Formats: sequence, C-alpha cells, structure tokens
Amino acid sequence: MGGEMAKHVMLVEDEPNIIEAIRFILTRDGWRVDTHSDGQTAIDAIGAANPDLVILDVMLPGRSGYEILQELRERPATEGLPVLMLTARGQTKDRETAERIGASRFMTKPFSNAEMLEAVRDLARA
Amino acid sequence: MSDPDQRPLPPPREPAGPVFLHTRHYRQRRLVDAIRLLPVLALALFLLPLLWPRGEVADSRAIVYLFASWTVLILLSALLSHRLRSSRDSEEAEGRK
Amino acid sequence: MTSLNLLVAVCIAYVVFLFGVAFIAERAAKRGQGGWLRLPMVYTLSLSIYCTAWTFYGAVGYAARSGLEYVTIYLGPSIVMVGWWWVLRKMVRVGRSQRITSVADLISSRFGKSNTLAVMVTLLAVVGTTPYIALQLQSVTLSFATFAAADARAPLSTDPNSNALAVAAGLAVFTVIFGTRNLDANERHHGVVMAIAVEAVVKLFALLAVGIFVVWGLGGGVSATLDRIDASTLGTWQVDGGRWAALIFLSAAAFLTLPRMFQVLVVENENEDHLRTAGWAFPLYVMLMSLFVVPIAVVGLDLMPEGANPDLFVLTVPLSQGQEGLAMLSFLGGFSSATSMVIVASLALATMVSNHVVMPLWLRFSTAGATRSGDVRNVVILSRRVAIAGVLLLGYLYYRMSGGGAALAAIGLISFTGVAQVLPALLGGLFWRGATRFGAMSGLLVGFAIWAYSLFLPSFGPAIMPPGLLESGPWGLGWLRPQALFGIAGLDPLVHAVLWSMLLNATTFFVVSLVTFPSPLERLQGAQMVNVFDHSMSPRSWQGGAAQSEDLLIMAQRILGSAEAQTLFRSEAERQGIKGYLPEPSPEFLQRLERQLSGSVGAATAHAMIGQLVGGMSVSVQDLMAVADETAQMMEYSSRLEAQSQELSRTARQLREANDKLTRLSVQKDAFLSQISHELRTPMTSIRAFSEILRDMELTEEEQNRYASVIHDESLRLTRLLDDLLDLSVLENGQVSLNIRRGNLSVVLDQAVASASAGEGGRRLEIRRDKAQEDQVLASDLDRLAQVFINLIANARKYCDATQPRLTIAVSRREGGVVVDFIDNGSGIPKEAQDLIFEKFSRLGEQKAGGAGLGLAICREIMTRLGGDITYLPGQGGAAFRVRLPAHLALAAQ
Repeated sequence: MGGEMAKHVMLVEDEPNIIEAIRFILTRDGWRVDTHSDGQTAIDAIGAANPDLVILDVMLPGRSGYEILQELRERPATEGLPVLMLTARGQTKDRETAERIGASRFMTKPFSNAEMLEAVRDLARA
Repeated sequence: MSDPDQRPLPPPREPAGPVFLHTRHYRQRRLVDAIRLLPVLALALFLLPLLWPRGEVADSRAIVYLFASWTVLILLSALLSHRLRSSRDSEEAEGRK
Repeated sequence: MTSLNLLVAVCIAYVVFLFGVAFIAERAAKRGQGGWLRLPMVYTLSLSIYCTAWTFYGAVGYAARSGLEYVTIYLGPSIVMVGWWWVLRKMVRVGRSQRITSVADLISSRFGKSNTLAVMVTLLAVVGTTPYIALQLQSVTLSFATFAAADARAPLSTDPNSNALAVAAGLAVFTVIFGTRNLDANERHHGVVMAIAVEAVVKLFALLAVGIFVVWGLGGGVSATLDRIDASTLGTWQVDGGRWAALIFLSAAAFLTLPRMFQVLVVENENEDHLRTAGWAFPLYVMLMSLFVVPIAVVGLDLMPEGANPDLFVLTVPLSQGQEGLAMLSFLGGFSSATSMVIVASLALATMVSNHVVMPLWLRFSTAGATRSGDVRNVVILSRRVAIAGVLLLGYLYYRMSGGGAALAAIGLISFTGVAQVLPALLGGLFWRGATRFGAMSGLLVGFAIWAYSLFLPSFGPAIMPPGLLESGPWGLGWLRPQALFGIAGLDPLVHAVLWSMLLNATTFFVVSLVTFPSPLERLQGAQMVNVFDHSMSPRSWQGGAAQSEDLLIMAQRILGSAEAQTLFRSEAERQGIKGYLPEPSPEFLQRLERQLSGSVGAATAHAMIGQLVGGMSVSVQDLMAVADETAQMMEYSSRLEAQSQELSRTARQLREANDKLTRLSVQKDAFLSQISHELRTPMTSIRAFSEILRDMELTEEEQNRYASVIHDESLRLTRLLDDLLDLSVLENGQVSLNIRRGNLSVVLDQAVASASAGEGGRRLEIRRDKAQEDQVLASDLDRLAQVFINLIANARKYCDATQPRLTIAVSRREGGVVVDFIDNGSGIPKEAQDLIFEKFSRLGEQKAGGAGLGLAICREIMTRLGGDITYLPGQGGAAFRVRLPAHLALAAQ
C-alpha cells in the first residue's frame, strides 16, 4: 500500500457510533473516509466526493439506501461504482432486494471488523 | 280481474287446493254442503202440499205438517250454522298455533 | 172502555219511547260504545220489517178468506233465509265490498254504473212501495177507528184522513231525524235499526199474546182449537196449487228485492256472520208470527158478527171480549209493524231517489258547485230529507185517492209482484257474468210493463182500466187481454201476472244479454260481483262518517308506509282543523295524496286508485287494496333486497377494512420485526465493532475510555428496548400490579415534563399548561400515569414537525372523570394512520426517531389497566391525544 494515494471511501450512515467505529477501522487501514448521514442529499454528496467505494446503510433518515443505490446505478458516472450495503434488518428479503438493485456486496449488522475490512479491500481491488 | 270468457286456456295457476284435505276441512266442506242443501229440503217440504187433494186434507193436519216441517228446518239451520261456527273457530285456533 | 184519549196518550208515549231508543242507540254508536247494537239478534229483529201491518192485521183476514194460503208469504222468506249461503251471503258481501246503498245501486253498479238502470229500479221501487206505505197508513187509521167506534165518549167526527196525515208526518219527522243525521250513504242507521228491533219485539209479543189468549183463553187449548179449525168454514185444505207455488216464489223474490228489505239485509248489515244467526232465527220469528193466525181467524169468524172486517180480528176479538189491555197491546203491535215498515221503506226510497235522481240532476245543472264538498253534502242531506217527506206524502196521497177500501192483502201482493221484477237482473247480475246492461234494462222494462198492464192498473178498477179492455183486450185483440195474455185464460189474475211478467222478464233479460256485448266496466264489475268471494277480503266492518278517508289512509299506508301516510293525513287534518288522522277528502287533499302516491306507484295508477276510491265505485275497495298490497309487497321485497345488498356491501366493507387493517398490521409487523432487528442490531453493531477494536488494536487511554463508554451507552440502549418489550408484554398479559396512591395531577405532570425533557437538549418544545385546571386529586398508579404522560410529551417532542413546536396540555373535568388533552401544533397524524398508532410495533412511516413503536401501545395498555383510556382526538390542528381518567380515580379537588 505504501505511498500510493489513499483510496477514498464514502460512508453513508446515520448512527454516530457506527460511523465512528467504521471510520476508525478503515482509517487505521489507510483509507480516506468521508461520511454523510442524510439520505436526501446522499447522491449529491457521493457525486461531489467521487469515492472509490461507497458503504451505504439501508435505513437512513429521509431516503432509504435502496433508493439511493438505484439512482446511483441509473447514473452513468456511478453505475459501476462499488457499493457495500449494510443493513441491520437481517432478512433474506433485504439481501435479495439489495442484489437485485445492484449492490456489489451486502453485509448484515453486526459485522466483525475483519469482515468489513476484507469486503472493502475486495471491492476496491476489483 | 281477467275475464275467463275471453281466455282460450285456463289460467296458469296453482291448483286451487290440495286434493286431500285435513279431516277438519273435509268436515267443514260437507257442513257447507249441508247448509247449501237446506233450501232444497225446505222447498221440497213446502211444495209437498201441492200434491194434496183439495178439500180432503183437514186443515188441522195441514197446520201441524207445515209448522212441524218449519220447525225441523229452523232446528237444522240452527244446528248447522252453530257447527259451522265451532268448526271455523277451532280451525282458527288451529291456525293460530 | 178504553178512552180514545188514553190510546192517543199511550201511542204518543210509545213514540217518545222509540225516539228515546233511537237516540240512545245513535249516541252509543257515535261514542263507539254499544256492542249490543251489533248483535246478530238485533240484525235478525231488524229483518222483521218484512212483517208489516199487512201481515200483522192482514194475515188473519187473509186466513179468514183463503185459509192457509197466507202462510206462503212467510214460507218464501224462510226458504231464502235458510238458504242464506246461496244468495244472501253473496249479496251482503257484494254490498259491502262495493259499498252498495240500495237495490237500485246494486243493479246499476253491476251493469257498469248505469244510472238509467238505477232510475228504472228506483221508479219501480217507488211505484211498488207507495201503495204499501198507503197500506200502512190505512191500517193505523183503521185500528184507530176501531178503538174510536168502541169509545162512546169519542168525538163523533174522528177524521181518519187527519189521523193518517198525522201519522205520516210523525214518521217523516222520525225518519228525517234518525235517517239523515249523517251524510254517508254507506253508514248504518243504528238509531233506526234499534227502534225497529224494539218494534219487532213488541209486535211479536203482541201477536203471541193475542194468539195465546185466543187458543187457551177462548179456544180451550191446542187440540180443542184444532178441532174448531176443522169444524170451521176453513175446515179443509183448499189452497190453489198454482197460487201456493207462485206466492212462495213471489214472497221469496220480494224478500230479496224489496227496497226496505235490501236496506236492512245488506246496507244495515254490520257483519256478514250475522247471517248465520238470522238464517235460523228469522224463520223462527216469522213462524211464530204466523203460528196463531188461523186460530185467531177461526175464533174471530166464530165470535164476531157477520160482516165484521177479518183484517181487524187481531184487534176486535180482544176488544169484544173486554180485554182492553190486550187490545191496546195488539194495537201497539200493529202500530209498530206499520211504523217500522214506513220508516225503513221511506229511508231506502229516499236514498235511491236522492242518489240516482236528485244528485245526478243537481250535478248536471250546477257546474260550479261540485268543487266545494260542503255544497254536495248539504244537497245530499237536503235531497234525502225532501225525498223522505215526498215518499210519505206520496203514500198519503195514494191512501187518499184509493179511498182505503181495498182488502189489505191484495195491495201487498200487487206491490210484491212489481218489486219482484228486479229479481232476474239481481240474481243474473250476481251469478252470471254474461248478464249485460241492455239485458237487465229490457228485462226490467218488459216485466214492469206486464206487471202494470196485467196486475197494477187493473187493481185501480174501472176508472183506470175500463171493463171492456179486461173483457176483450185492446183494440179487440183477445190475446192481449190484461188478465189472459196470449190466450191463456182461467188463471188466477195474480198467478197469471207473476207467471208472465217473471217469465218474459227473465227470458228477455237472458236473450238480450246473450246478443249484446257488455262494456269493459260492466265486465269488470261483473267479474267483481260474480267472483266476489275470490276477490274480496274477509268481511270488514264499515266505519262511520270518515269511511272514505279511512280507506284512503289504509291504501296510502300500504303504499307509502304507515308513518309517512299517517304524517301526511295528520298534517292535512290539522290544516282542516280536524283532530286525528282522517281529514275530509277535499279536492286539494286528494290531489296532494295522488301526487304523493304517484311517487310510489306511478301517476296513472295513483290517479286510477284515488279516482276509484273517491269517485265511482266501479272497482271494489278490496280489489284496490289487493293491488296496493301487491305493490307494497313488491316494494317491500325490493327494499328488503336493497337492505340485504346494503348489508352485504356493509359487511364487505367491514371485511375489507379488517383485511386492510390486518394487511397493514402484517406489513407493520414485518416492518417492526425489521425495525426491532434494526434496533437490536444497531447498538450491537457498535458494541461489537468497538469491543473488537478494544481487543485487537493499540489504543490510547482516551480512545479506550471513549470506546468503552460507547459500548456502555449502547448496552443501556439495548436494555431500554428490552425493558419496553417486557413492559408491554407484562401489561398485555395483565400481570401488572398497580401501586395506587393519592396525588395531585399537577405534580404528576410536573414529573413527566421534567423526565421527558431530561437529556433532550436538541429539540426545544414549548409546553403550555394551565396549573389551576391541573389541580385535581387522583387516586391512581401515579408512576404508570406519569409514564403515559412522558411518552406523550416525548412523542410530541419527537414528531411535532412545526418550526416552533408547542404542546398544550389541557385538563378538564368531564363526565365525572378527568380528561387530559395533549395537543401539539404539528401536522398531526394522517387519518388512515389514526387507528393504527395504538397498535404494537406501529411507527409512522419509515422514519427513525429513536423509539421502537411501542410507546403508544404501552400507554394504551396502561390506561386500560387504570380503568381509563387514551384516544386520538382528531381535528385539533395538530396531533392530539386525550387521556381519560375514570370518575372513581379522579377525586374532587380539595
């Protein structure tokens, strides 16, 4: 990893403690982490930040993660952007919905830090 | 209110009543038959004197005959109409059950 | 010797008594009392007007002249009465269902409401009855004269004519008073009927008294009397067979067709069932009336001097034996017979004359008058009164002209034969649907002509019918000799007249009916009457003055429904200033009613129904009722269907609602499961992440502390969630134990506001309270109550979306309890969500506001436990919740 420019992760999540945990883990791993916690403005924030990877929570105030993902996939600039979806609702239905819309990876909370790191690395590498 | 004289066919309707009647109804109909026949009996009784030869039958006998048959008629009529009512009453009581 | 003055006094007293009886009966009927007026026996006795003075006095005279022949006059009616099932039942039923007022009305009604026919029958009735009335007047004057002759002190010049005039005038007064009190032609005259019933008893009693006196007082017992009869000139059976049969037929026919008999048999009939009693009681009455006739005649012939008038034996035999009391009774009997006949006959004739002659003329010549109902009423009453006086005057004039000399019975039989001409049309009309108006008219004309020519006119003697005509016929045509028509000579004149008139009458009626064609109305009426038992309902009593209105009401009720019809009628009655539900059927009201009805059954039908009910009686009321019933049934059926489909759609709607609710609940539940999962996993995510960080990574002291406290906070959050779930579960299962304490509501609210505000620095919520109102003492689980309040305040804080959120807490005492309203100024809860907010796991929308959607469910459970409730209060501007504390928990402020 060394000197190359740190990869940029955009974290869209509304729970402060979880933001802090993920930011801590990824930052330690050498990622640049931006966060955004409002669903309504998330698309613009992502567009503006132009990250290498998006970590997207499903349950967001204002707009659900699915809607955001769908819109991202509809936009040419972001249609290939790797998106890791996080949800606290552990139903299969949610996973299916996420995959259908085009999530690159789907993770159920709670997750282990190692899991998270591995997923982020995988997605960034691809 | 249609005129049967104008109808080519009998009206399509339910049979006027059951063929077999309850015994009580049957009795009541026969009672009415008896009441219907009463004036015929009266006529027969009262026209019988036509057969009597004039001047040979004593008036007292004629009087006794006429008044006796009259009385019989009155009694029969009273009896029949009384029974008609009681049978009608009991029928109504039956119906009310 | 009975003085004539005493007789006059008794007579007047008797008349006063009759007036009294009539008056009392009339009054009782008016008040709706007097069930005794409607006894079958009264009906039977009223039929006894068949026995007039002719039979009271004349029967004995008849027997003295012709032996047992007199009895035929009673045998005919006996046969008819015993056979009531055949003819009378039908006549009465038709009379009731068609509201027949007289025999003329029946005939006219049957043959298409032909007034020509009605006039013909009326004329026939007047011609036939006038001599009969004269006969009654004559009998009264004769009996007076008998007493006068026996009274030495009587003024020598007792003018029989003035007596007759006085009697006629008195009868006219009585009939006018009690016969035309009320307008309605259908209504029965209770006063008259009761008076003639009393008179019936008097005459039967009188005749029986005389008879018993004769048989046991003079004749020496039954067998001695019978011997005496055999020994007398009457000795053997001398009756002419032709006369015997003809007279039985004639009396039977007259019994049905005499206007006065029709009046008492049909018009005054209260109840069809009375016929059943009359069927045997009337034959019994006439049998008793005729029982002692022959003995009286025989004894009279024995005792009285040669040449004594046998027509007066009933009176003269007791007088000659010094039985003055008995004679007086006998006089009253004869008087009763005469007066009752005259009263009813003049009443019946007056109805006919007024209805079929005067009214049609009046209506024709007064074009403007008919719209005002009061006019018609007055005209009817006046014309009827004038007609009564006229009929009696006619009778009196006839009496004067005839000189009163003829034997009583002869006039009676002539009269009978005339009236009997109606019989073919009557019976034909009732039993044969093929009978037509032209048939009836021509039959009547032929019968009437033959009767007049061969019987009525010859009875006037040479003055009217010259002997030459009788001997050789008109213009020398022998086959047209009045008493030997078609060359058949040698018959008794009466039998001859009866035979030819009835035979030709009936034949003409039949043949003309066959070759003519009835009008539609005739056919309708024919079907109605001939099949009256198929059509009409069971007999229904006619009601008095308001009969027409009542029929309208009954019909209207069947069509409009009771309540609406009654309201309509009542309001109209009020408008007319009448109490109750029966207004006068004025033209305006009828129009209004018609309009009302046409809404239900269509204009044409409504018009026809009203027209038929009010105007012509061409369709029976019962038939209209049947139509109305059918309509009502159909309407009822369709409205039932409608109700059922409404019920169904209501059920379907309820099911849909329930289904919607379930679906929403199920979605909610799914959502909640996701939510609870989310709520559990979110803190767990933080906890797990930070504990791994703590475990795996090098951290500064500060970081360690910070992450440990995050873990701690998140654990607390988990605990709170689990507490809530547990709390709800406990509350729902009723396992909660309440800690009831007394306290002030204000204090509880203070605590709630304080705890709800603690730790919520971010959003500012303005809370408005009225401390004075809050000063209510409660006995409740104050902690639980506070929990509810906290929840509501916290909700307002979380969800109130106003820019300056404000919560108003209003306390009031209501229905004995205390009501606490929490009203915020936000956008409130949408209507479709209002019934869900108290459900468990329910949250508004997907928005995340910290709670798990259990708060209001817990509140509701708590309030239920506390005996109160919590409801959403719509229409308050913002979200509004009402907490109600029951009366027993809310103590009065101290």
